[in-house]
Amino acid sequence: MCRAALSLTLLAVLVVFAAGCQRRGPSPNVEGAARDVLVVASGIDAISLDPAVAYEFSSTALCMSFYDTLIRYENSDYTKPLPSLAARWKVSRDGLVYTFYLRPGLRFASGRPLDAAAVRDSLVRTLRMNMAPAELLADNIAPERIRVVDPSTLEIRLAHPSAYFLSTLFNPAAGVVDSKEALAHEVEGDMGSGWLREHSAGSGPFTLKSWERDIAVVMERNENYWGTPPRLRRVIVKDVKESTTQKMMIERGDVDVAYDMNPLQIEDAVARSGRVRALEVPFLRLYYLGMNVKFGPLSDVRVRQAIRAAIRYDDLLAMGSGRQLRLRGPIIKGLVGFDPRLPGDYDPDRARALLATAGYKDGFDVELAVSGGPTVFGPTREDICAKLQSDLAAVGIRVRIKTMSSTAYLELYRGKKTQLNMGDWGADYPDPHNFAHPFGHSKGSLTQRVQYANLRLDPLIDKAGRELSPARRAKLYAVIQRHLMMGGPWATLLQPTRLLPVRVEVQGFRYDAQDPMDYRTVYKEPQ
Amino acid sequence: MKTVLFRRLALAVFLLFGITLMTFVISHVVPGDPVATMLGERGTEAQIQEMREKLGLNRPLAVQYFSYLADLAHLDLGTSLRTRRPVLDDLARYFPATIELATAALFVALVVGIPLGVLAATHKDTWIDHAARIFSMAGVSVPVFWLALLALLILYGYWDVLPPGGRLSDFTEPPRTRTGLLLVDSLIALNFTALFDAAWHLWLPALCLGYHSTATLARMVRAQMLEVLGQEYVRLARASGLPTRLILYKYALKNALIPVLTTIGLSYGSLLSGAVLTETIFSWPGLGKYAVGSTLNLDFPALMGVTLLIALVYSLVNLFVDLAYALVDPRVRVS
Repeated sequence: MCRAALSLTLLAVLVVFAAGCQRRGPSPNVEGAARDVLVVASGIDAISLDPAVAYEFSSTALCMSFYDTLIRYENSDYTKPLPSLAARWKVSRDGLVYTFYLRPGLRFASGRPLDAAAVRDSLVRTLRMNMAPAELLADNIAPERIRVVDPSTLEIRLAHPSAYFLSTLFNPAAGVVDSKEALAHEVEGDMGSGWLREHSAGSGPFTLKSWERDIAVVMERNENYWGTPPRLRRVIVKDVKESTTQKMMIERGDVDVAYDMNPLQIEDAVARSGRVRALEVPFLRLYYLGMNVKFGPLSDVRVRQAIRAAIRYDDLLAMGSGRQLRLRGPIIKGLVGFDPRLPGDYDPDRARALLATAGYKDGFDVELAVSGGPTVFGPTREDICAKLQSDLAAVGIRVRIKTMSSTAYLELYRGKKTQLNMGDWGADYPDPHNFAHPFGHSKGSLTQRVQYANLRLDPLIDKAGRELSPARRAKLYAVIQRHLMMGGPWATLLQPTRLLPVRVEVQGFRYDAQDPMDYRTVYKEPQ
Repeated sequence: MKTVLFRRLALAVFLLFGITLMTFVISHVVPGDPVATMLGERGTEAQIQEMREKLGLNRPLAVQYFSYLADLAHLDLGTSLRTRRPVLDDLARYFPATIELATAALFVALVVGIPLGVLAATHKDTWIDHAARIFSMAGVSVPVFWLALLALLILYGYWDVLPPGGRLSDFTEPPRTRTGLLLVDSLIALNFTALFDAAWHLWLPALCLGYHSTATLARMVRAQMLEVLGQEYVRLARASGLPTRLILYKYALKNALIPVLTTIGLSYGSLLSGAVLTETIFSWPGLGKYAVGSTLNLDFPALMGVTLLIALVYSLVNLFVDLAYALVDPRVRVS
């Protein structure tokens, strides 16, 4: 009896497993059953989907779909802010008062009206919670300086004129949350943050249906959306961390977009499947070599100049996808102040001469700290460091690469204990101030870590941040970058270009570097 | 029997206590600051200090540890720094997926490993034995991540017979969560679409994860069977003209399996705790994936929770193995 029961159970289990194992045929995602569903593969690093907390790549990208901002930019053009929740805005002559006029009839996904008071409450909520995103707003806005003029008019008074204020609003930190909904779920004074971690309460084109950690985020069309309704009914963002798996999935049509494949995998997928195309999209990010100016030889400006002159930048540009851009300063292409004419060419003879003048004819030993892992343009960070090591060895500088986890690297870097370090920096908001300040100002987050302070640069950077004329700003940034590339603690290596693989069925994808999951206009058309 | 059980359970408590101490110390002395990681590259020093204070991470280590123990006594494992949810809730959410995967992997190991071991022993030094040896050697030496990627490439990428990962297809309606075990929940809900889909998703990770245990079991069973088959009572049975099947399966295998029980128990323990790579490659939302995420974010409470759970699982599995010994071997019962 017992044996018979055991055999039957075994047989049943085998039947269930065997029934599953059969050739699948075309993916249901391609077959038409899911024409209005977009399936995306991305390694989800999100901690919280509350826009006042969200700071990782995937959480900020996802939040942009749930929460609208007062203004926005489109197609990676960051010179012209466009209306979003605000139909128009007015700036006072002194550049201190911004008056936003909201679109009429705005509603949150819940159906609750979205008026000027809701925008104020949301901004104040972000500022009061004081998590990492609040920093972006706090530079310009204080809660007591936000005033509701009438239900459709909001006035924000700045403490000082700011050329980058509007661009800081194009960030989930300034995404408008239905604070009443959030507060209805408040626990122990958390302003509803615990609930918003896995729910949405915004007015964006999509709402959050579910987030099962390590599985998928599912968003659904917001039927109360004020703009043109998205053509997609649902977007499934699958948490797939392995880039090899992402490649196979997009080739087979199980996903429509894959965010974490390296350029070589993308090129192979495009060539092999014939059903995948690669979008070449801008990336507001730069890779740099940092030099701690308190470390012996690096304290000498001539040594820092020598290091900059010893790097074969063209070789770095040819690595991986080979689509990288040369940077001669920390301000990247796409922003006011990017200047390809600045000096900074590869010149090993000059590097050797500078080292000799500085008293390091025979070179010196130095440690290069890096957090291991792939870059967005293909090679690993370790590969880049190995290249730098070989370039610097050619002029006599003996580099020892110290690869570590991102947490250990961050601790070392924050603790000002690196000698050389290789890192990257991406834009929080699309404005040159977001690069000039951290890389040049004595109170900048990165300059402090390499202990660099040039007090002559500070007023220039402050002035450029307040200058409202783009032409005058560009001139100021040219001067700032020249200073930094002469005596500063950085060698700016390159700006990557991103390749994004999408299935040929996917149409209407208006990719934006600051809003990479903007699916408002996306639709699927059989090809 | 009761004394043994009591003694083992008391020992398990001491073991868990030791593990909390070790994990706590190790996780707090490794380089890296969880708060800095949590707030990212842009978090300011003031924000870091404020958060550290809020989470109680600025207190002396000993105070933090005893506070943790006090909470643990109330079955409160703390709040995950990464997911900001109670660790116990997180474990309850992630562990069933791992149990399902580990059980399926063990099933593969038992169904394939034991017959293969018997076959290799009964056909000693023939091509069957050699083939079984190659299969087993490969199983213990091939890294699981390599095997998983290769299997994925062939069975999903080229042949397209198995899915790339996850527990269910995007377009399958999941059953209502009762146990967290999808196969069981689908059966309870009589949702056969989900049942077959879940089984289909389970195949590949279970095969990859179970291969190592299959190989170990096959070698172990072969060695034990050879030893038992050489014993006098088996020779007597043969001389008495008993059928070979009866000798093999009723007299030899039963005795050969007694030491193998330990291997099975340890295998199950390690399958439950060691599916980190398999879960990452197959996007399997289990304990391994949770552990990796927690480690990368220096999420101390979550790491402590995972370690404690694994230690508990090991202790319990070993206890069950010891009890199973007593059930299958009367000599153990007597002693």
